[in-house]
Amino acid sequence: SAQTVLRASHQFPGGKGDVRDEMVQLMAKQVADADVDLEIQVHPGESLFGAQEQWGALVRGRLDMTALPLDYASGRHPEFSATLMPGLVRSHERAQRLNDSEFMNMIKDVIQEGGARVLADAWLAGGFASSQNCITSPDTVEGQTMRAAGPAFDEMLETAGASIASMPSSEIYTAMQTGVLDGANTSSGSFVSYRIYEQVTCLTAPGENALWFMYEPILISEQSWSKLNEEQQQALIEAGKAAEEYFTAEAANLDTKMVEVFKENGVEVVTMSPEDYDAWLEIAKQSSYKTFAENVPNGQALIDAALAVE
Amino acid sequence: MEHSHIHVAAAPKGIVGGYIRLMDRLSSATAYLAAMLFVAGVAAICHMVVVRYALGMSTSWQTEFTVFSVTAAMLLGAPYVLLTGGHVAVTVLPDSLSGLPRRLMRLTASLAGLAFCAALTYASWLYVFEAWHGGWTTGSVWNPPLWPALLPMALGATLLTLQYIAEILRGEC
Amino acid sequence: MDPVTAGILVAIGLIVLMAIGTPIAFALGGISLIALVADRGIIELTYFGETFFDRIAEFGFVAIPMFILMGAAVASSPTGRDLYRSLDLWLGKLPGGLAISNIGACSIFAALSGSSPATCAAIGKMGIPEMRARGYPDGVAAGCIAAGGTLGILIPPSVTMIIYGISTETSIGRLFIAGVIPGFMLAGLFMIWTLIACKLAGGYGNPLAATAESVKRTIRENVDANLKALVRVLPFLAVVLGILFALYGGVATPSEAAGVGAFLCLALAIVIYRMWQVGPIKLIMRDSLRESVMIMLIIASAEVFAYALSSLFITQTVAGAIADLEVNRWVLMGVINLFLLVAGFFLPPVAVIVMTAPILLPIILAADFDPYWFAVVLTINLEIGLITPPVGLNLFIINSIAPDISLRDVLMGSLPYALCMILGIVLLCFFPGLATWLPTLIMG
Ligand code: NA
Ligand code: NA
Repeated sequence: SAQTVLRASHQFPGGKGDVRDEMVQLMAKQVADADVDLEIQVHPGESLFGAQEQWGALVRGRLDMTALPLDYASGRHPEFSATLMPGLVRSHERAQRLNDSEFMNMIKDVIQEGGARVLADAWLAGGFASSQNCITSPDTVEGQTMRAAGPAFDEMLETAGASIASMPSSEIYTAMQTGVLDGANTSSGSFVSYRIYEQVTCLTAPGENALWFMYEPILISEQSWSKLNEEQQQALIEAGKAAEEYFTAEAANLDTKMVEVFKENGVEVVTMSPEDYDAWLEIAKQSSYKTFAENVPNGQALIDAALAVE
Repeated sequence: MEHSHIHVAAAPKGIVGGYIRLMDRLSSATAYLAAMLFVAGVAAICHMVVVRYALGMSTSWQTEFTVFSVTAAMLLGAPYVLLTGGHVAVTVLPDSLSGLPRRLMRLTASLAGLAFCAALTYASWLYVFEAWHGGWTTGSVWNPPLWPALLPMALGATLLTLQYIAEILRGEC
Repeated sequence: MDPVTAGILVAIGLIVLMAIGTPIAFALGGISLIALVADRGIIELTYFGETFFDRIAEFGFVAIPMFILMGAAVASSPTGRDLYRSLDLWLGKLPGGLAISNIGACSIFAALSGSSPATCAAIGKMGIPEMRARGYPDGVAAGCIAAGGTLGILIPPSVTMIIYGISTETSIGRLFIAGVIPGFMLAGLFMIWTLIACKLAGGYGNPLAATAESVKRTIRENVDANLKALVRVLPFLAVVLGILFALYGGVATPSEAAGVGAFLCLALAIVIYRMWQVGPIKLIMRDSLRESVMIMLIIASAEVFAYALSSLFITQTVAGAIADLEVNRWVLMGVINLFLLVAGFFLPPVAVIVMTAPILLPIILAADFDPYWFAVVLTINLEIGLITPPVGLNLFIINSIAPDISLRDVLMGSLPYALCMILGIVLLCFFPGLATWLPTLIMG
């Protein structure tokens, strides 16, 4: 019988072991094995839609599925900035608890209103790296030129006394090489794949008190979803669960791998203490959280809900 | 590209002629606006370079501002480039014909171009209205509203379409 | 519809639209829109604005108008004339010296400008009338300027290398450096052919030695003026060297370097050549706006075209089919070159790169070719396209400078230079180091 083909797009390299690509590929395989006349066609590496175009295409039904850093759509749904907000997550264990919290229900309501639904949750951790000194407490960034990953981090770092240069993660390497940047803040995966260990002297690994987490779920367009029969929907839900389980097992490994690679290259590796984390949180509350609460209608409620999770 | 003598054929008399002259003026005036936005983009980049590399301070709005002003310049400049015959085309086949077949072929080509520009106009305005209605922003540190960045595309495409009609009426393309 | 049928229909539609004379930007955009709507419904038209805007509103692309503005600022100043005068003074006595000066001036100007048509126009304005006045055959005069102008996109900075870098996520600074040696190699080949052509045509023009005594005296008296002229060109060259340094050193992104370069060259033109009246500035803005709008609209449409091909699964099918061929890598390279050559006949370089680089790069990498080396080969292919009909941007320029030289003379004069470029590609295949040695030396 005729197959329903779902087009999935993402910005990550295809077939090279990137965990987000693997998640989508795993779902494609599971769905094919389920034998429900459903096929997921994966378009990796921005080969169909650009990273920034994906949300718009998804909610209009031009694209069926995507693995998307949700913050990319914060221009259309400012609530999504909460998914790249400093200090809101803290650790992988807490990310797990967050997934079933009121906070994520609120975020998923916005996703739903926007026209998409979540098939698999994924919180990626990240850290700091610097060629000057180890970044732990807020005063350690003073005077450093930093690249952060989004507006909320930029604001917090600037408040702590860093100066900010905005650029895509692919440019961090050369910017550090030439001294344009002293430090950078990005995901564990990017730190390794862009070989940042060649340029820095100290890495702040996620550990138990990580400031940097980013939500990158696998989404399906509501329009595409409603066209599927119950059997197909069930197959997708199960494939999503499998992808999520795969990710949960892999998430910590990404950090471990980063630490290993950086150590092998002679980079000092530290983590933040609970005191450092609390100090950063104070700064975030005065800067990025405050701006978020002011500019987003239910911003304060979102932050409170996230911080309320144990 | 040096074209010291840009030739634009004179418009006929009457309402049609009036429309053509109006469009010619509008497109030329828009080109000035485009040139200013282009220069503004250059200025913003230079400002960013000075602030970031010489003063070592944070940069926030310059990158986005440059992208939007230069993109706006390119789209607002498009009607003027059409007016002055600057959009490259393969004219070997129509040039080798004469009389009615040549006129028909050029008209068909123009109508195809016009159809595309009209489609772009429609889609651009839709994007502007959605961005305005939804209060969309760019989601960056600067985070300005999106619609002012899109408006030049809609205006440029609209003028481009109207200029195309003028060119067809002029019997020039 | 299966991708193969769709691909054939899209190709036919595009060829028909372009053949009847629809501007390339609108033909590319129009056919993409039709294909998308036919395949996925009216929704693709409704949200077409997003695709169109989001794909050109990119910081990397900003470098293109900036480099064009930089070239226009230099071109509007009498830099071209100064360069040309200085070279003529030194080489004018050689047989064919003037033609060689022209190619030399083109390669130096290529280092000041990112675009080939701009290079062609800047030197051609002076060079073609001068060569004809001194009795060079029309074909040689037109051909050496048309060909010399193509160096604009091989010798850095280069608009097409920027697009290649963006499309393939390769380092633009490294791409620029890769073009340096092949660029001067091609200039050398062009010079050798020019001497041969002059000999075949039975005249090296009238070298200075043969011109009237009075002319020689005037020129001797002008040595001082000419040296001053050279000194005036040096600041522009310094700006370009600074830009290259900033780029290969990774100090600044191409867009930043281009923006500062445009500003500095504009300022230099105003200060050194005293062009502070409104007139010349207006001319600079008009020329750079015209060329960059033309190029950027083609890029936007080619981006949409690339999206349409990917959406209809044509890209993936073609790339898969080529990968499955499992032919010898040099046969593969030959086929790719042939394809690029044909595409270059009909399309301007920017369109070819945006449309094909994302398909070709994985194939190139799988066949174990160096992406920077390939960028140079690709660029030379596209340079050939600049001097071949039906769409040869440099031919259009020659025609606007010297409308009285017949198309036949221009084409016959340019053809041997196209063969020089093919020879250049062959040399690059035998000695890949020509493209890879310098970047490795400088950037590691
Ligand atoms: Na150049
Ligand atoms: Na050509």
